[in-house]
Amino acid sequence: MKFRLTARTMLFLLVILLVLVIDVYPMLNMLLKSVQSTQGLTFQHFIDVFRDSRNIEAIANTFVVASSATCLSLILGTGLAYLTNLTDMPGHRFLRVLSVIPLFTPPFIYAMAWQQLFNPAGYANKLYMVMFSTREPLFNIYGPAGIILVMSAGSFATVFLITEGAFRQMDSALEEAGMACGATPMRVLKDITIPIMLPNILAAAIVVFITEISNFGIPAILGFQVSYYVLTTRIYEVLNEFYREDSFEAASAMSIILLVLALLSLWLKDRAIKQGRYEIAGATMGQQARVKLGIIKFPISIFVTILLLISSVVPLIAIGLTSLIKAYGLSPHFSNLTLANFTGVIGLSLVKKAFANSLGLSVASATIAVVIGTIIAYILTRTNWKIRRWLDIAVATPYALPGTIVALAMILAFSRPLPLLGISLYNTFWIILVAYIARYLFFVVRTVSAAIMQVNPDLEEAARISGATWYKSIRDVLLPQVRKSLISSWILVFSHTISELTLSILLWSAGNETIAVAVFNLQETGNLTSSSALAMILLLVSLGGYLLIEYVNQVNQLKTGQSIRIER
Amino acid sequence: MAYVELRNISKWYQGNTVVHDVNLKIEQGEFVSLLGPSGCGKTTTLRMLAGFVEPTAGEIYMQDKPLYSKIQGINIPPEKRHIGMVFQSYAVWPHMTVFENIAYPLKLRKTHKNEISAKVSEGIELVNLTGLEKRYPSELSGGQQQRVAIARAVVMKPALLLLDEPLSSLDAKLREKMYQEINAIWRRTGITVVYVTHDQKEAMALSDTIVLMKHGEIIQRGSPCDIYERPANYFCADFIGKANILQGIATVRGDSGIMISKDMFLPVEYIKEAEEGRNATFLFRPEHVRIIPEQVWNNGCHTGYSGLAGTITYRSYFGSYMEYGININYKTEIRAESNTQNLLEPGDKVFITIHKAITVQERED
Repeated sequence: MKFRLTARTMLFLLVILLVLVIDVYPMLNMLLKSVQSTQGLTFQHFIDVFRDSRNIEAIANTFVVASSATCLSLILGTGLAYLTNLTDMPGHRFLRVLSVIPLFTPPFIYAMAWQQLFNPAGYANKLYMVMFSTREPLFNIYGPAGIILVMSAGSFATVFLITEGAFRQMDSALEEAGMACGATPMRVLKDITIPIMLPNILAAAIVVFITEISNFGIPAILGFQVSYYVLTTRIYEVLNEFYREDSFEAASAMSIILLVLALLSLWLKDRAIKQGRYEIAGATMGQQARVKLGIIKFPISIFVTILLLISSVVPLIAIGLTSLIKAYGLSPHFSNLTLANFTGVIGLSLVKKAFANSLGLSVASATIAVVIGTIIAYILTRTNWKIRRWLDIAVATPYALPGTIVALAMILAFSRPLPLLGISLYNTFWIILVAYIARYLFFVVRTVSAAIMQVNPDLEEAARISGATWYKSIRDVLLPQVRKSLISSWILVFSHTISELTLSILLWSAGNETIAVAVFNLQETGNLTSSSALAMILLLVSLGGYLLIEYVNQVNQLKTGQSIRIER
Repeated sequence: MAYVELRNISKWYQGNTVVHDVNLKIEQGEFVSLLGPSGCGKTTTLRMLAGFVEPTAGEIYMQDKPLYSKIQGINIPPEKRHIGMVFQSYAVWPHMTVFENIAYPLKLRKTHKNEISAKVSEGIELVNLTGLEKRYPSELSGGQQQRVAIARAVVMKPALLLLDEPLSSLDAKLREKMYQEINAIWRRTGITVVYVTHDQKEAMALSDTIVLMKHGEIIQRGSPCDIYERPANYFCADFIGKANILQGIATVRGDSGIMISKDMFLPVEYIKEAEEGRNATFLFRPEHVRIIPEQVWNNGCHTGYSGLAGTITYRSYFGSYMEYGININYKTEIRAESNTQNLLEPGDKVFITIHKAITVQERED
């Protein structure tokens, strides 16, 4: 086929060029930097990394924390999925709603909330000390145990959602068919139930593992106090060691290690999913026979409810309380409550600036990501360009990889002055914007391409043959069909970026703070009441975003039967 | 020059030939069906006419103007061809009402508002949808959506109307009703139509001309009657209607018939295009087979004729006729249609004679 350079082709090429600049170049550049020295290629940076015992420790800690949290999440998540889907435990609808609350809470805020409960002078510890008249706290949240606990509490809902899908897919007819063939219940479990469930559980485990090794907020808030570091926080630390000359090289070498870990996990997940995508034939699923728990179903239900209240609601109550209290440490009497924290923190010029920055960044990145992402989605679904596969990978990578790596790649790529313009993006508002777009473009591309795929290309062709130009066929026919997905993905990008910490904490500079950075810094300086007030505002904004998506989704589902998945 | 002309049109994708050297002339007002099994290139040909697929070679002319020409480097985009099209999936825009769907082509042509509503009403009337103007497609049945698609395609009085298997997703009853309606619309508008289908019944019922395609090539072009009565080869005969096949030597002298083997002669009442004394493949329709029960045959009613002996293998009841499978010589299976009286049972011994057969090229596969 002859290649014609039409306006449309030019537009597509422009967008692909943009993806090259903001996604592909930074990643490749970082790979190169990690093995580059003034003398040429070297593995010296890696050797240096392994020479420093603090780095080795961070790697080991990453493993310990991430795998423990994964195991714990797996147990809690599959257990809950089993109880709510396959047994007659009462209240399973309510429990399902309860369990997903942590997914909509930014992890660092969730960590702050837990920290206010279980720091040695936290609410829960104090309550315990008063009740049992002891001086020993119940649990000290600082350190690995606390990190693992908070990570698990924040992630088991992910496992729950994935395995729940698998449990629901399990038609009891599959098991009954096994029994009809003469298999004992144990054989059925071994030969049918577990093989069907396992790939999903495995995939869930790996998703959680990647989330944990990528997490910055939780180990930062609960680890810095006791100098306990994982890879992400160690990279942050190294970058902030200004006296070091090789901090960039060391950080990128460490990032590569994190990268390898992440890629390895992604590869494993891919394998697990490939092996385990069992398409269950037949359009309607048979009703699952629920296991009768008998009389113990009530105690179990109460126990699970308490557990979920502790993991989902109590931390948020704690942070809400701190945001309303005159000084952290005061008992929560009514007389000690005030709204001054909110008015005070909003009055801070730094916070005002941070709000303006965050709003600007979120609106701009959501808007730009929706425009570019829609064009990419169109290229992916409506053209047969060979580059599609690579484009898809290029867009997905910055989202799949730990944010710390993405931030570092941005620093390395854009610290030098841009060609032609002669200005450097580093230490400006713009590098944060580029990073946000690079990372969250994936949301738009995935949501919108799924929506475009639902639209029969005949609809656009019908417009063309009616006399519409390509542009008009998109404007009048395709975009109105996918409008809901455009709105949803805009909100999705907005609510992620408004509370984004991992990228922002490495990319911010004086005057360019985001709200999340402001919360984090206030928290680090010990100003708990102000940081909590600010966190509460942030929480409400991002929660509002999700509710809005849920609403758009429901309207959408009613009209077209499509739904858009939310993922944290 | 014909109204629409395809000259040496070919299309290949990565060395895979989908359409090969197609030449086709369509006269103004003609109803042409492109008929063939799936993968025969009929839809690709239609989409090349519409402008959605760029041919690899050749030229397309309409009203003496090139729509596509490889040599001249001309490729008019679909929106400028002034062609109407009805899609297999209807492609009725779900976010527009019936009125808005049908009005869209006119709107793009900057038609005046009053004229739009007049023309749309005319179109709605043409397809019998009056009263449903404000409905959304989701509130319409499949058949009604189909009508919207047709109205939308003809409202701008296109130079050519393309229909891509428009009835394939309707149920049998509705499909037959739509034959008549499409036929009526064609007669009332006098529009030139190219109709793609894999359903021979549809093509027979609707078209002036059937273009039979296979493996990207035109195998035969002719009126429905032509193709049924004088199929070019076994494929055509088999695709349109049912066909039986026998190999033998034609004899025209004296008794006309087929020598099936040295000592077996099958009398045929009418042989067309058979060259005497040559090996030939003979093709005959099930309705031209007469079945005579062995008993009747032996009673001597048919002295002077010889027939082929066979055994009934199956029987299927079709309401107005009965289809029998008859095994000849333990190797050839023949399908025969007969009335539904004097039923024969599988296993019954019979003799058959054939009234009418034609010779065709050797069977290809």
